[in-house]
Amino acid sequence: MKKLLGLALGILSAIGGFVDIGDIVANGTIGARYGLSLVWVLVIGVVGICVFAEMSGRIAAVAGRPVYDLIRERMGPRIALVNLGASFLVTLLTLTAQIGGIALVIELASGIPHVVWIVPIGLGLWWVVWRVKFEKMEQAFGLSGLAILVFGVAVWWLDPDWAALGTQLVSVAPPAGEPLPTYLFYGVTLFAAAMTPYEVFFFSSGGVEEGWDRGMLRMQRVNVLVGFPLGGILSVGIAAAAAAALMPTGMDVETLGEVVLPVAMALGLAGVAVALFGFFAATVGAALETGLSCGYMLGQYFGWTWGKRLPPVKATRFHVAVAACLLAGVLVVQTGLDPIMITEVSLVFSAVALPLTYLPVLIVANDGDYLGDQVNGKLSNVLGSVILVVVLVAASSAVPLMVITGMGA
Amino acid sequence: MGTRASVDTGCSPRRGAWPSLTVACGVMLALVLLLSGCQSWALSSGSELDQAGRTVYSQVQVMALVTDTALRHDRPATVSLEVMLDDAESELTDQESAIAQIPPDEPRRAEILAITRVAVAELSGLRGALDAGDRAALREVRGALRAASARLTAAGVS
Repeated sequence: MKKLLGLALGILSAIGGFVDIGDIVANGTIGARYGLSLVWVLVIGVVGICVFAEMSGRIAAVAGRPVYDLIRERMGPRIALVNLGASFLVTLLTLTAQIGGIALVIELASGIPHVVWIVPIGLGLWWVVWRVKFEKMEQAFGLSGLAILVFGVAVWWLDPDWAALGTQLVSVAPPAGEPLPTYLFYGVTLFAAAMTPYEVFFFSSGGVEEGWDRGMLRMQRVNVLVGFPLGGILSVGIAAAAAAALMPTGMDVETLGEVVLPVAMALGLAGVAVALFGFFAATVGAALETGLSCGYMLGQYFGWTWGKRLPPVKATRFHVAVAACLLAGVLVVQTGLDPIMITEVSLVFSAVALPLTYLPVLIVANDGDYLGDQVNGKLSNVLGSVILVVVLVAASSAVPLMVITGMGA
Repeated sequence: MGTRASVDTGCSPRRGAWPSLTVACGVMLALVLLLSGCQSWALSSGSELDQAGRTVYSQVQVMALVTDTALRHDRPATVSLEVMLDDAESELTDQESAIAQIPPDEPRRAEILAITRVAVAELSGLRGALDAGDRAALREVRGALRAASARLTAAGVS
């Protein structure tokens, strides 16, 4: 019974924890502009994150070491440094975007400008990293993120043209009059939002923090293979709500408030309260994950003692690194840069960094010295290789598409 | 080993040719993307006036949806809706300044600028009606916003 409860909690946390500010912005923007005609990209992204999260979870459970630690050992310090540089900067940018996202959510709830909230948010995040236990943090924010399901309820209440939504869902082309490169640009950002690099580092490092072993392989697999796809449905809910309420007006989504507008239309104050609670939990959860991931990457590369479970006195450099990253994120958002713009840029650069994150995972997952009889099977390798090709295409086209479409204008 | 080395079908490139082929394919892909991208930009971005007009159109739609929401619900999440209106106001004010800088001989400039000013003027009325829960005033604002939206569409902006 206890095991079953743990499994259910793990799945629910994975569902709620799947969404972050990148998913929220990307799905809101895309839903209003293209309806559900980019859901196929999200499906590929969810398959990709499932495949690679399963690999990294297996590595953590069997080798007892996180992925990044093994990447450095297996690929050598120089190549690992390239990996560290790219992944770390993108994760720091993603952390900055989450901090801005939290501030925007609080602004929508309070009416007080978001810049006022940034320092308290930084302090709050730092306190949680320091004082709240890892499992509690994961479960609290993951479970609360489930509130985003309110977007699905809003879609049902808005009673849109279901046939039109169905047609968009099976479409793999831009709607009439929409230029292909802009459609592809948004496809790349949606893919990057689903496969954000920090997820793999956090997942495997979290596995080591929680002491996963071979006996927990099945549980972590179920968490990933059930939790992440269901989390993807939360993202589709946001896109569907925008498709139902905003797309018919021809407007563009440029603020977080506009993403929430369909819920406000359908369910009024109660709906908005639930949606903002869900966004708050999702962005705070993601900020904690990205902040910790920055510390994990640095700690594992430089061989520090690391871990959220360890008190600051025992893992001083790790805790200082996490605090410094939070401070950096706070300072960037405090300059007044638009958090939505930071999010969009972070998605583009996430796309660029994807191969540097996922190729080494595939290599380590095939290394019998680390994984013994748990090396990748044929299915994992075929899926991993196919996703890697998609990752390479997304990475190589992200910046050119950003430039030539004027950031999806 | 020797057999493998001696096989030459004539159509498979030499080992050294692969990098060149890859580079050539990459350049071609980049060119295709660049060309279609330029076309995309021309299609999607349009002139400065078009871009400003589209932003104004988008903000008018946001205001209309906020008005609908306020009319639909007794408790319409007033604080959040007001934040949305603050964002709309900031965006409309920026666009008003941008359009004002466009040379006056540009066709449609005067019309789009006039509609933008109407939208800015409606904002304060909408805020007051939202705060007071005044349905009659909200309906009036909705009518004005519908008219502004129709004028923008007639001016070739949507």
